[in-house]
Amino acid sequence: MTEMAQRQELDQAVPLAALFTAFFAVCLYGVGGGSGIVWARRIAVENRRWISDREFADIVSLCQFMPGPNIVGIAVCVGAKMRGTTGTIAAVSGFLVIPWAIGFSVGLLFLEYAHLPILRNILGGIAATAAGLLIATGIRLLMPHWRRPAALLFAGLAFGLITFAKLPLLAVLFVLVPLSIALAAIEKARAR
Amino acid sequence: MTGPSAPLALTVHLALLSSISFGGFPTVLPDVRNFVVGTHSWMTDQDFANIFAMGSRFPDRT
Repeated sequence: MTEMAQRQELDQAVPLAALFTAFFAVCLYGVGGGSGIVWARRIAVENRRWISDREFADIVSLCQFMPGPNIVGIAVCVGAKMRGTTGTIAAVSGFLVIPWAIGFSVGLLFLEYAHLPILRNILGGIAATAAGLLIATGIRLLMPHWRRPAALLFAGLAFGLITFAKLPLLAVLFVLVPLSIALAAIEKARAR
Repeated sequence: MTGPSAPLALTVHLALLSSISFGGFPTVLPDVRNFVVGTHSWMTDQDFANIFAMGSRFPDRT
């Protein structure tokens, strides 16, 4: 417990550079598709002991409700907890600097020569596998609702309105989300 | 890119989309494509597919 109290006092002393390098490391360990959340937990909870296991679990569940990538949300929360706004900026920039640099340099270079047949084949293959992964993720998200006609109806409506009617996502969301929530509420009331 | 306001328009649009991207970037991908390829004709569908392919291989592609 005294260690916890000491830790609380030390919270203020976490250097911005440490936040930056910690999330820089999270990003590097995550290369190749490993879950960044696992690495963020190992570094922030186990190695640096900035936050407790419980706090980390709370942050992860909060980030699942927030829009945007979970792992960026975790960087925001940990940075904010340690050093406030500047801590947030340090943690997020540490996490983003590598993807940003690669995206900027390699991306520009690749697109410059994207017309070359060999690059076109490589990019085409990668795009196809990435699209396949997206479809697989979508199906996996839909599976738990397979036996609920209402859920399937809304999934189909959202797909049709965006794909065939070419409506913007915002409009589709604002129409379908309230309807879907209302229907779910009615379903639940009837089940009682 | 066309005109000095183009980067601003892109930033505002992406900021708006990111605030509703529950479930990650894939949910807003069609809308980003419609914005840059359809509405503004900043790039072709092929360009967008190339960028998507590269983006999906970067560290932390979430």
